[in-house]
Amino acid sequence: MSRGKSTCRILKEIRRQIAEANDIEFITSECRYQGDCPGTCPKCEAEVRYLEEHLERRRTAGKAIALAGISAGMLATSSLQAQEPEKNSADKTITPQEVIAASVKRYLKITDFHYIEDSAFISRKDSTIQVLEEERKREVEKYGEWEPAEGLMDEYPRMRPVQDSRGYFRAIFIEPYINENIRYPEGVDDLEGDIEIQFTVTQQGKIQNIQLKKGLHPLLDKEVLRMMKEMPDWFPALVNGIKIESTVSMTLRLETERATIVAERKDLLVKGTVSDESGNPLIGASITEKGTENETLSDSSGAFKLKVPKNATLTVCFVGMETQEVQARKDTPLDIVLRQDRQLMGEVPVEESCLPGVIETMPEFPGGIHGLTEHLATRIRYPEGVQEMEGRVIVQVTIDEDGYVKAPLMVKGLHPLLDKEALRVVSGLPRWKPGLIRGKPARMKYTIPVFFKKKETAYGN
Amino acid sequence: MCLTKVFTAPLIGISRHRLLTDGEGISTLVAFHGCPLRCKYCFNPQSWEHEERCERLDCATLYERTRMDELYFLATGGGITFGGGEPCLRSGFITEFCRLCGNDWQITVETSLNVPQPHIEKLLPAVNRFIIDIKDMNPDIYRRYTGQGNEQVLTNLRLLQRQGRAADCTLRLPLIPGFNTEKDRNRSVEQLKAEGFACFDLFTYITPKNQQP
Repeated sequence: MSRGKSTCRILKEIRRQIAEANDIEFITSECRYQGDCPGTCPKCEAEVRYLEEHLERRRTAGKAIALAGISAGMLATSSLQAQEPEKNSADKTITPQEVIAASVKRYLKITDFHYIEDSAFISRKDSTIQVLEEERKREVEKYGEWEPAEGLMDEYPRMRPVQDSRGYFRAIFIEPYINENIRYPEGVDDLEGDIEIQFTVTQQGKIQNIQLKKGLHPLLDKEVLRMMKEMPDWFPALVNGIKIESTVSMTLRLETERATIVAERKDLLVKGTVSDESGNPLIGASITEKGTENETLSDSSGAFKLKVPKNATLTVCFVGMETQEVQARKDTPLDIVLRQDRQLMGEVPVEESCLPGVIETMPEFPGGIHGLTEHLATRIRYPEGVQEMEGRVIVQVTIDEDGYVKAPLMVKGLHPLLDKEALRVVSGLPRWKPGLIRGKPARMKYTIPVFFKKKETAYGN
Repeated sequence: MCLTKVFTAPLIGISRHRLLTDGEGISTLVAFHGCPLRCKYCFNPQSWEHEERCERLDCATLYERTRMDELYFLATGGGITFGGGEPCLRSGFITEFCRLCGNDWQITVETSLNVPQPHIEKLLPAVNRFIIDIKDMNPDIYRRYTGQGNEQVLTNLRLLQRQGRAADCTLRLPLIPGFNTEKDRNRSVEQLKAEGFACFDLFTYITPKNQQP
């Protein structure tokens, strides 16, 4: 995993912890950013904005916010990066939740709103003060609570409050109004960018002379203009408490976020610690609910918490250690001791001519690492006479530019018959998606561990 | 509108999401242009040339640009690390910035301390952690490596110590190939321990072969 991707994972875990500590439904989706992503891609940023928004809502509602130092434990040691567990599967998202819906979320954000200064602005100030004052009095009677407070006589134009069925006035703000009333046309799914419009708010509060100064997409521009035209009347701008006609420039930024809406699955909270054989805590060990992407990392004291359904199996892995599987349980904490592993799993030694830093994409088996697991499990036959043997055989292969498996080589054998069987199955693997170096398919070596287990199960990890 | 003095500073870079590389938690490194030293193996030599190519920002803009990571800062006890170049030469800017960002961000400076004392005095209330690049305590070695004397460094170290800030300092003592030895470094450590400092970062400079004397 590149350094960027590992940063991305840590940042995502912090976001998850913030959401959990504050009871925020966590929205996440898989990071599709190619290459080195230090958590700065638009999707990851959108998740931060989402959390901020929800924290702000909690704050406004007078609820407590848990934030200060809640993830400090994760980063309490400077050796975390070195100990970050390497995984040979594609980058995984950390999702202790169930996907309930996937959606494209779009939002128009007002990034700029300012007057276009003109002479009319000034000349109105003293011309018809008395008439305007009369009008203002009537306005105060009608919308009293919305008039500017004493001393705040200069104001931008703004939307009028509307009267609801019970006769109460409800404030309308431009940004929410726009987002509630815009109807996105078809075919603008992946759009992002700015739309700049200019319009005049007359002395009577009518929106006029709507002009498009900078467009983004013909269909969307048209829709924005429609929405502006149909907008109800505003309060005009005020200078010294007097209504004036004003021209406003407004920039709307379209933000698109492909999100998967997920709901927490609150079945079982498993707690425990991960340590090595000498009892030292392992920091940053990965604890995964088997067969899912529900994952957490152990903190600086080796401790972890993970929500899983009942009867789930946890896979615990750490670089340089043998992967272990344990049954989730609720009442007593799990103390997991990992044994040292001489043979790194799924390690990718690169062709001699390449530097490790330049691997961009590793070869991928159709269906990913789970596909490989299943494929091996269904094809392995225990040879006669060695049914009682269990263990792991490691085979190294080269995946060539076209994705074909070449040159299988026994790295760590177990028994001649089992080794032969492992080589047979690995040699017969279907075509892979080749690894990429600088965007081009390239030969790469790949290490495949093949497990032999009693009963009927035999699988690679 | 109320007009206040606006501090601006030329920056050679802003690097986000640094994990423990310089200071606590997740930090954003803000690197200033300009440095009084001319270290032979300088890591950011762009900090002493072409100021006109640097982006010049005011505090408010820098705050806007860094605020997006506030959640990470708060959750991990991180914040901003000012480096460079020599950040302490921008004490006005940093102080003003800290007024904007409030007390919850961890503010770290990565400095040589080779700056006039008023700068350090000004920074004392604003900065949480000082990462100090001592180089070597031996004035001859220091001068040979940086082109400057280290009297100012010692004065400022004593200021920090007197102000009770020794515990907030991490002192970097590199082995500089061709300039000092393990023996020199041990001597520096002893000397600094005697001054009341306890947190040291010992490492070796990695130098390009062609620069090795």
